[in-house]
Amino acid sequence: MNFLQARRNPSLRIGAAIVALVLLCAVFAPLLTPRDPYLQNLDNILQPPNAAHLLGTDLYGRDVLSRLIYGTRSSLAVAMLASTIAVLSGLLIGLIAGFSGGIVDRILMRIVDVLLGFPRLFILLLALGFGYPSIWFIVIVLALFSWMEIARIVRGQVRVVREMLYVKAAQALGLSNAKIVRKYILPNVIGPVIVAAAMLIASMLIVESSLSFLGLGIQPPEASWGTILNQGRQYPVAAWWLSTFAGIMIVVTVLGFHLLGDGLRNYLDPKTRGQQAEK
Amino acid sequence: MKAKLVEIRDLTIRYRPKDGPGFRKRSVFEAVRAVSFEIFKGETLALVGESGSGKTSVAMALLGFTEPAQGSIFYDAMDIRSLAGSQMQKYRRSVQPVFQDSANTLNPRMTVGAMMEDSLWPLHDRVSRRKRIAELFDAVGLDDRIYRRYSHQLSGGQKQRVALARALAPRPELLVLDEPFSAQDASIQINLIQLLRNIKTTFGCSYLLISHDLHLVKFLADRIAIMKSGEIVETGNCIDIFLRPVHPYTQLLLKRKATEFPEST
Repeated sequence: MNFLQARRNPSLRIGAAIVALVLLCAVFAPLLTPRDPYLQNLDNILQPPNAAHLLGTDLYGRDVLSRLIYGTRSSLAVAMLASTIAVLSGLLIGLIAGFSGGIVDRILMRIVDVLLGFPRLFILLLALGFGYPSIWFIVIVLALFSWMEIARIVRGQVRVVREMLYVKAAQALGLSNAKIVRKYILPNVIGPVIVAAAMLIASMLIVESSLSFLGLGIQPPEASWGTILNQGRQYPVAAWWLSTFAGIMIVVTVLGFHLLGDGLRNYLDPKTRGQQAEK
Repeated sequence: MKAKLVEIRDLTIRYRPKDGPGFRKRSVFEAVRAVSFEIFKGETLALVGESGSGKTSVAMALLGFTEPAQGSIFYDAMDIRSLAGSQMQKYRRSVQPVFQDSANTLNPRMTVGAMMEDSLWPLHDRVSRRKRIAELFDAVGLDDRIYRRYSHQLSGGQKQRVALARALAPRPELLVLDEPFSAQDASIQINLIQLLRNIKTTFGCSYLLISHDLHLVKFLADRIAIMKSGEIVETGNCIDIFLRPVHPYTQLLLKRKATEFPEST
């Protein structure tokens, strides 16, 4: 990535900075946490922010800052893993449907239509009600009901790009279908997919937090932003710091992924990139 | 007498709207009706007619992008519908298109160099590919410096030359030139005509030149076929068409051109 071009793109700069910061928190959580996030101290419960506990303590006297930092790991892991699986599946199915056309396209798109007809949160709650909500189970269930939008976007884009003259020229040159898809179609449909993927991570973060908030996501004593929010629900005023800081983390991270997606879309479009370089 | 390279017999192309209510009877549009012509080795045949007369549909069928409803296309005496696998690949590389829309004909995500390298994929040696690209750039009058540029960094004329260089890369026997001049200004049109003449001499390929502009066609064509509403109404050599047009539609086209380009008649 050309640093000078990235500098001229404020969405990309701010989004990347927020996401990088959150990712660093997740990776280096053991080094960054001032205290053990699982260590209970019943003499020290629901302490407001102070010098010893910068973001206060929770119902069991655990340090909220440490739990928020550790919560980054589980919340982000679930959102990013589920999004990656959903994006790759959607990309593959969208490419096959869009490039093949005909009966293959019709069958795949009817499957997408049927799955889109199900209310996602309801299905998630139902599925999680049946199984033990481990991180992998949540990831698989989230991914299973989230690839359809990506598949639709990709399929629509592929159908447009497939008719472009440069694709016809590549076909006339005798290039294989695999090469045409990889070099001529995929790079020209990937922009909207990257934006959709960034938005999907943001939406997965919210879904994961909602599930944990409802007690169906990551289970205590494991830290996640949703479980911290859940604790704050019981004392919205008396222990305002619980909901507030977890809420801020969710909002800022979601915003970061939105900005990153938007910035990447501009950066990855050679036409926009050219205009930015001229400024 | 020259050998036939392409022979098109009774070609009919119909289009059916792809999307629509499943049970409703959909109307079929006949874009090309029983068109027959041949292209001889080394000649330039111009297909001339107004927009919507079916010229591009014929070209797309010849390139294998449109399935004919009826009729046959023979290339070197082989029916192209009987070709498959490596034979089809060989046929595709022998007949190369240069499209009208130069902005849309180059992949916006690839550099000129990468596109040219792709067009020479049967050459496995990178050095040989680079050498051939330099020869092709030289043949179409392009500077080596555009190798790393993207299509949006090129002028209209440069894009058209890159498209031409890419089409020439597989050493085709036939170039299908679909309105190659229409998006260019007059000075670029003159340069392109000269360039296409030189290329024909150097590479010895045949041209199927599709145009609505009789004025430009006469500088390149050996024979002209006039198309109207999906049918060929008149075919003849360039001089006969210009001096002794038979069909009223050809006379009308010439009259119109004579008014627009009085110096050319």
